Amino acid sequence: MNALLRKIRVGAVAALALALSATAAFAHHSTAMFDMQHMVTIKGTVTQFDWTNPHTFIFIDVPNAAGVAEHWGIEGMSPNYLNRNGWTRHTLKPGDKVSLEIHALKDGRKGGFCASVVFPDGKVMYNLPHRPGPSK
Amino acid sequence: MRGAVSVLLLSLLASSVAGAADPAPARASARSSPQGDTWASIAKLPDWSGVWDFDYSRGGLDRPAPPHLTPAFAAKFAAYQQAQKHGLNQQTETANCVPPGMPQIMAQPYPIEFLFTPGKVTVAIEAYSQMRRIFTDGRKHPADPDPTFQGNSIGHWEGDTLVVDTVGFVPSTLIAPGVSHSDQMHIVERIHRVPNDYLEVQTTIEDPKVMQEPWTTTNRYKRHKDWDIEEYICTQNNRDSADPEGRAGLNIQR
Repeated sequence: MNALLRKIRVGAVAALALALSATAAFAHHSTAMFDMQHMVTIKGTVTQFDWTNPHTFIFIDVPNAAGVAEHWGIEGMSPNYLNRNGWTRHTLKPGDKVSLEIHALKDGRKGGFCASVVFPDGKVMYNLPHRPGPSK
Repeated sequence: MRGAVSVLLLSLLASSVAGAADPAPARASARSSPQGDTWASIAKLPDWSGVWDFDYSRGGLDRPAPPHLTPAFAAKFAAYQQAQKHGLNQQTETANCVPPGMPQIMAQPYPIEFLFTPGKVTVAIEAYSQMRRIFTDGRKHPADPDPTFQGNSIGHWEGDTLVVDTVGFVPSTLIAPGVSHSDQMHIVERIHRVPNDYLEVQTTIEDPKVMQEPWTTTNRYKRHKDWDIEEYICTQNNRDSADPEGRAGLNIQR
């Protein structure tokens, strides 16, 4: 086997090891569409909260620089995960004014994955585990 | 060996059909009073009550060495990885709510629950609302099982360890993303309690067409006595559908 082939083989084995350890950390889907390296904050008014499997969804109107509301759709963890971590289907409701820490969609559309919700009184509800740990 | 067993089963079947008055089912002859075959013997099984949540604290118990793929499947895996660089294969079919089946259904970030009834251990799996049925009544695998997502599982107790033998899987289940299986995949799980309320599952996957040697991983589940298995209907509001080439998507329309 020449050196290049050997390099490819070693690379593939390392990648397989990674793929295997990463596999277990999510059910359903990967986070490929989100920028998991960076977090951004959006602030606005909740218009809809879907307490559904396989994921919860927060729809929120966020005023842009001109003061015009932009519609964002933010994916969250499943109700099964969240209700074991203090959330209920009443945690968010239309009209709530909140800040969301999100991993934005890489494609530039107004969407993302919710890491946490900050309420006006400063209370924080985590969606993704805030300790080092796996996402689901 | 399996051939011999199926010949034996066939001959047993034939004899019971011939003697139509004989009420004993064929499989009864293969029994030797397995543990867990009666309500009384179930009381002597280990206490696996509560539900068990997959433990990621150490990335599973051990970081498994990757399977030693055959040249054909190593090439397939390399091509899979190459396509990922171009935005393909970002998702598996689970993004479209197709249940993963065995073996990956046993490594989901949702809890599982074991139910003991005479001659059977049923595993209720929260992810995708799935169920595994492990027959512990002494029967053998069917000679030619219809392929299913969970496969055909028979089990027996070795002391406090449940040993599960599973064959017969639909083609779509994966050993790992990018690593499919052949019609020869055979999975053996050894499941037992370990200290501090963990359940340890040692899984050995054998598939000579795909891997050059059997591949063993060990994972743990943490007990939660105050949790219940909840409903998980993946198609309820799935906004993450992937296309046939595995490109990721997210539907953000309200």
